[in-house]
Amino acid sequence: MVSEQAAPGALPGRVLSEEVQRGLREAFAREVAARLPHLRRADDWELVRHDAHSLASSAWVVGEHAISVLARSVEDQLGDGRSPEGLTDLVAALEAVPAP
Amino acid sequence: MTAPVRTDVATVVVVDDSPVQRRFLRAAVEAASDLTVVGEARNGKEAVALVARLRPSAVLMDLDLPVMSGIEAIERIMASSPTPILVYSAHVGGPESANALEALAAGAVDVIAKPGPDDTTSLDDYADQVRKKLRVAARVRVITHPRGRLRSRGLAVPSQPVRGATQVVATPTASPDDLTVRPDVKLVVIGASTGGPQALHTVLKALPLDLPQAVLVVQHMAEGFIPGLASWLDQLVPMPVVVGVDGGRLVPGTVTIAPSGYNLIVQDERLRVACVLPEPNQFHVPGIDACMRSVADVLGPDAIGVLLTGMGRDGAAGLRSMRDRGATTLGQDEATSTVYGMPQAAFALDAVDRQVGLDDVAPVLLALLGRS
Repeated sequence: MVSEQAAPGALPGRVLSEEVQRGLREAFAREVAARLPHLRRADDWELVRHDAHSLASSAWVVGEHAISVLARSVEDQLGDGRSPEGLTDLVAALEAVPAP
Repeated sequence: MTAPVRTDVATVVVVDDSPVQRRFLRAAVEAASDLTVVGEARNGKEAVALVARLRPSAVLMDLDLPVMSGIEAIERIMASSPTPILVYSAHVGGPESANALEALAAGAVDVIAKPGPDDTTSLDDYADQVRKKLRVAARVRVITHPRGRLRSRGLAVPSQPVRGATQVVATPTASPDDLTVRPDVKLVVIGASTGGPQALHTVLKALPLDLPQAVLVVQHMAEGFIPGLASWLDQLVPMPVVVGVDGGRLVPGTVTIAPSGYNLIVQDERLRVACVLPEPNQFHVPGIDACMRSVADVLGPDAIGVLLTGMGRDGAAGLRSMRDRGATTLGQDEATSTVYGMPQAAFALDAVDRQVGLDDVAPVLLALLGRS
């Protein structure tokens, strides 16, 4: 139940060591930085879908629930052949993640 | 001085293009002293090369990979360096779940749901699930998978059959020998766990569309994957395959799969079923024991029980109940079981009339049903 209400940055369950948690957040910031340009360009929908797929799970791991929801929504929309209406919101949420 | 090599530690290769997932999974795996990550791959192509070089005890793999898809990577690994592969997938519902079932068909031993925004699992529980599944996977004996071999030789993989077209079904050449032919049987109930989807495919593809008996399947599977399993099998086997519903009836010539989250109980001789919440301490849901016990109570000798590959003991006591009530019972043999756990437990409990190899299950069933 933790992931539903966890504050951004609070790892669901908090079972991993502080060092591991810090490492996960740093890795998440790097992953966001690497994928964000594809999402901003949005010129390759398969790449956008794959980035959204990865970010949905990565964001869940680091407790970024809102990003996880947005990313899964974009992934599902593209997977169904629909226009990714939430892409702008996802990009905005990712831009708010502190740079690595 | 070189440290002694620990043979009791299972070695794992993690395959995911997300650095967050790889880091998390490494931490989750290595929280246990009997598991260690020996390599990480970022795509399917790297995974194939890394597994060939490191020969790990097991592979933990996402399906949605760049460069080479997870499905193709599984096929190639199973063709060249057969290794138990545990797939984790975010797509547990809807048409995308077919991808996970495709991974099982390609040779992966099990699938675990990848948590996402709708998930209520804690990180701790998920890490625990991953470790448990990896321990089982690492003990699975795998062989070169035919589909990968076909592709590696540039040959076409057999396409899916179309219902209504001419089907090649089992020829009931297997004699029931000491087993009595049971023309009055109304129901065949099959239990399976690890390695079950592939085994079910082998059995069900050899049963004809006009089978006058109903078939009920209880397959241990991660929450959410059962509809995908039904949809996948429905495309591959002659009989229609559906997911059981509370208050529904099992229909002759139809395969019904027990739904996630409940025990499917047969209530009466008209084969009405109920979905019953399990006891809180029940480990496997849906439970094979619970289902088979209900079949024993309601149908007595007018049923056949089959226990296929799987870890643990679920189904052994249920199969024994069926045998005690006069039903004929079959257990998959060790040589063809992905995991000889449940069938072994049933055999030890004297619940099995006959142990049979996987390819012989359908022919023996048809012989028992008098389809000769």
